[in-house]
Amino acid sequence: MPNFDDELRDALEAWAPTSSSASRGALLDVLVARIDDGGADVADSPAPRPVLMPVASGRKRVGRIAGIGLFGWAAVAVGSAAAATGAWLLLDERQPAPETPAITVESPAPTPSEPQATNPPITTNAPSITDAASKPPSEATDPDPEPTIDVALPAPSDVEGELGDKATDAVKDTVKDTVTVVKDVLAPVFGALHVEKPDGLLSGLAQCGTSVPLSVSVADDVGVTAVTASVELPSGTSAPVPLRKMGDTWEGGLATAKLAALLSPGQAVIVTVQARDAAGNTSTTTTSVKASLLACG
Amino acid sequence: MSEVSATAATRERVAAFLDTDYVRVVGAVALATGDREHAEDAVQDALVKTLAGDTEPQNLAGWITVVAINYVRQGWRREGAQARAYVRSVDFSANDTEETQTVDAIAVHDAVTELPERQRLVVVLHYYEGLQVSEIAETLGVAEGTVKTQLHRGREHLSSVLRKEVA
Repeated sequence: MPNFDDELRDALEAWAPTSSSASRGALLDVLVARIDDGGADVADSPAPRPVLMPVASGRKRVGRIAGIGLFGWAAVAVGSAAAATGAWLLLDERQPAPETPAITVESPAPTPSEPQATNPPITTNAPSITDAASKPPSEATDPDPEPTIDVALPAPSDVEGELGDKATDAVKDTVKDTVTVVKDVLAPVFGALHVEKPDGLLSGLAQCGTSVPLSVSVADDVGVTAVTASVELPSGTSAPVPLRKMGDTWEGGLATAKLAALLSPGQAVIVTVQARDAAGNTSTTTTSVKASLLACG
Repeated sequence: MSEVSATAATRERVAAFLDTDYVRVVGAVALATGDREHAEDAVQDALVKTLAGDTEPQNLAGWITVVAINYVRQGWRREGAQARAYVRSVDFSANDTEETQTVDAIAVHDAVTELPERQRLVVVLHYYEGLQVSEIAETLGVAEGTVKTQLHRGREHLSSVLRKEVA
């Protein structure tokens, strides 16, 4: 009757997978090529670490207590109790030693519910679990287990995330475009300026209290926005003449009463009309009118 | 000329491993980790990493097993980092057909997968890989007493579970 060990061995043996000989040649070629390449493609992988922890006992357990405390404090400093456990293991005399005095020890392998970012690596001169797992045991004897610890920041790693609508980059993009604007450079054009001469005005017969009609027609390719008029007396004094728009014509009147107060018989006044369009172009036209008032009032 | 010889020697060494140990090591890694999908990839990586080094461990199969298990356990960090198309030559489908499995074998497999990780590793290396306690201790870099302790606990656990299964 087989014992339990044999039953266990047989049961596990029955579970063994099978091999496909068809792909053996291709597998052999690939593996040899990768090995000849120095295994560089494996270097990107995380270095392995032992999954079996040594159990301390007897005097060695006492001897490691100081190491536990020291490394434990270091682990507290980096906020990782798991790292402290891993560092304590490095003091085990039976741990294989690396060739270099300072090596990197990674914190215990994270699980999906335990992100790696919470366990920054610890750099120490103690033997490396990582190194011990990837090198033959014959090279693994630490000549100097003095527990000095240097906490290193986590190595940069790829970060994935999503950018919001307000995300901007450091490059300022500039778009150049040309917009053609047709500027109005044509000034208004006067068609005609009429200062009517009622009977008697030029002969000095204008009635007191009447006005001398004035009309001017102005045209512009875009549009006339304002027309103003003024009358300048021989003394140099000028006075505005109110105009009102009547289609394309602006009309107003020269007040004879005002003229009568200032004019002597036979003197001339200068009527100036200025037109402006929306672009600010202006045109000016003048005319001289002789007037005389023999009597007013 | 020496480079050619080194390549030939490497090819011979890899071929020997494929013929004698590869399938069993892949099975051990899958059994110890429960990850069939990445077990073979991890074994290939571990083999490349080990044989590309200057020295070779005494027990290559055991060493590859342990290193590959660590690769699988940390493999989730490699997702996306390596887009290599691995050559697959190991078939696990035979394990999925109940006709080829005895009730005891299924029960043992289930019980092993439920073991704590440390115990499961030692049980697989000892009962499945056939490594002696001293070899396991040397491969893992721990004391033989540690291996014995974990092996004893794993065996006791399996024994109690399988008795329950039988009952």
